[in-house]
Amino acid sequence: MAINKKAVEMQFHWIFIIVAGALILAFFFSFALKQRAVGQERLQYTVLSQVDDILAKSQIKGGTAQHIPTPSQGLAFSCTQGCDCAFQIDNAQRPFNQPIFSPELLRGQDTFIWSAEWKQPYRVTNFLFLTNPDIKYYFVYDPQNSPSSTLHRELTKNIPPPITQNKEIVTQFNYQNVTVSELSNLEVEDYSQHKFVFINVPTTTPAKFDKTEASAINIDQSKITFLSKTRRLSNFQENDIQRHIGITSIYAAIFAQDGAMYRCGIEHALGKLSTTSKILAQRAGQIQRETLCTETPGGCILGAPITICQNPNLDVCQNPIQGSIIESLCQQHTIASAPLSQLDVNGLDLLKNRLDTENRKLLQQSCPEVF
Amino acid sequence: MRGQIKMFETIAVLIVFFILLFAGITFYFTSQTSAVQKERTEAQNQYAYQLALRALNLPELDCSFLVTQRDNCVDAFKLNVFSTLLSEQQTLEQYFPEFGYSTIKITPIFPSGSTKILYDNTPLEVNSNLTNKNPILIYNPLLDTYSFGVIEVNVYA
Repeated sequence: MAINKKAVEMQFHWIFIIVAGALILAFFFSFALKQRAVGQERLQYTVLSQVDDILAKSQIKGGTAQHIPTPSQGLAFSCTQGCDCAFQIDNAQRPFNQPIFSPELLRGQDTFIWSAEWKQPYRVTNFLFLTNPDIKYYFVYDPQNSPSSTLHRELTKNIPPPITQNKEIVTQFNYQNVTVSELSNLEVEDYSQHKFVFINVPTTTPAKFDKTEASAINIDQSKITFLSKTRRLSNFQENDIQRHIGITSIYAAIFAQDGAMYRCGIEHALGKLSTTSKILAQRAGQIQRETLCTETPGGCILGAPITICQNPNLDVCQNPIQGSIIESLCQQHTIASAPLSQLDVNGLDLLKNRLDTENRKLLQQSCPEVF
Repeated sequence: MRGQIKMFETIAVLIVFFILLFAGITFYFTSQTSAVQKERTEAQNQYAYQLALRALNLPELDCSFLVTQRDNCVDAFKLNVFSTLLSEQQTLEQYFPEFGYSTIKITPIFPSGSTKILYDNTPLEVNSNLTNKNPILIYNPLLDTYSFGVIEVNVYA
């Protein structure tokens, strides 16, 4: 009986050791796993803030092209219909409120970042275009059709050259010019994404791409149609139609993943235009006041109402002199306040040229330029 | 008696084990917290510098001559108009995604002048505050002269 009791005691002892050991091991395992997850998340946020910093700095200088290493997890961009835009690495997300135009996911080779100025005619903002060589763009045009070939020439002449290091291409905007007659023979190459840019030509799905996922945009005189096709669909399907406001906005549509991202970026830029034109108009009013109301004789009439001499805080857009530079700026402010779908694109274009001429005239009159 | 001694022995081992465990955990978490704090300060510093850069390159504020932009330069007339606009709630909200919770001030140093608050959005509760200062030029378009100044960015968290 005594032996049996000792044997049972021994068994319980070992069971206790096993259970306690297992508990301690489980504690350390769960702790290590948690720490690993936290570490990964911290790393994602660090990379995310580094990318954010690079994007912010890239956006400051217009007309530049540079590259950043793409995180191994990939760099994803998205915009909702309500313009809640964000970029993310795995689960780490950061919102952005800038005109950034990018494919849905950048993965693999270095990311190509191109910053282009949007001028009206003064700089309003810089558009940031992102891509990488794993995404292939096809510029489809008709050499026999003048609007198509002209726009194609204009589009391709501004594209920055590939970025090289030790004579090797690090990254580039990977595009190919394809005429409408060559489209039927176009072979499917091994790229992660394919995007067709139909320049003033009808949308056609290349025969060999009927079982390939692809996206496309069709550019005509005033609007851009966003299209896409899955493996199951043999033809492109229309997703969205938006208006374009010049060559920089066409580039925006080429790089944007969909109509929502394009619209959000362009509307942000229009908001900037609305504020900047208002600031320039008020500034011109101040210049007029300082030169015309205090100096005799001479002075610069820029179009502010004469009552500005009595009221320095006068809103110059309330009653500007017709045909003046201030009136043009105020009109630009009003037009740019409208949403993209109701935008007077021709009016904006006319004002851009008029402002440029008026500003040069001011220099000839020895007046401070407005921009 | 022997059983009691054994029990005390086990309890003593457990106490020592847990003391060591808690000491280790405390040490680990303290070092982690200071590392996270350091990272946070670095990120805040970077953000403050980013804001200063952003502000200096805003077309709403920059010095441009026939569409050519001058680096690190602020137009005094634009600054006046823009700061007035940013004192309105609607414009302040419009620029919130760009500048967040921060205060941006511009002070002429030589010749000296009064400080202009460009943007001010201070949260109700401020846990930490980081300042970044950068030298700039302030351009007077009327006299075609420059003065030296400082742009001060306060970032709140």
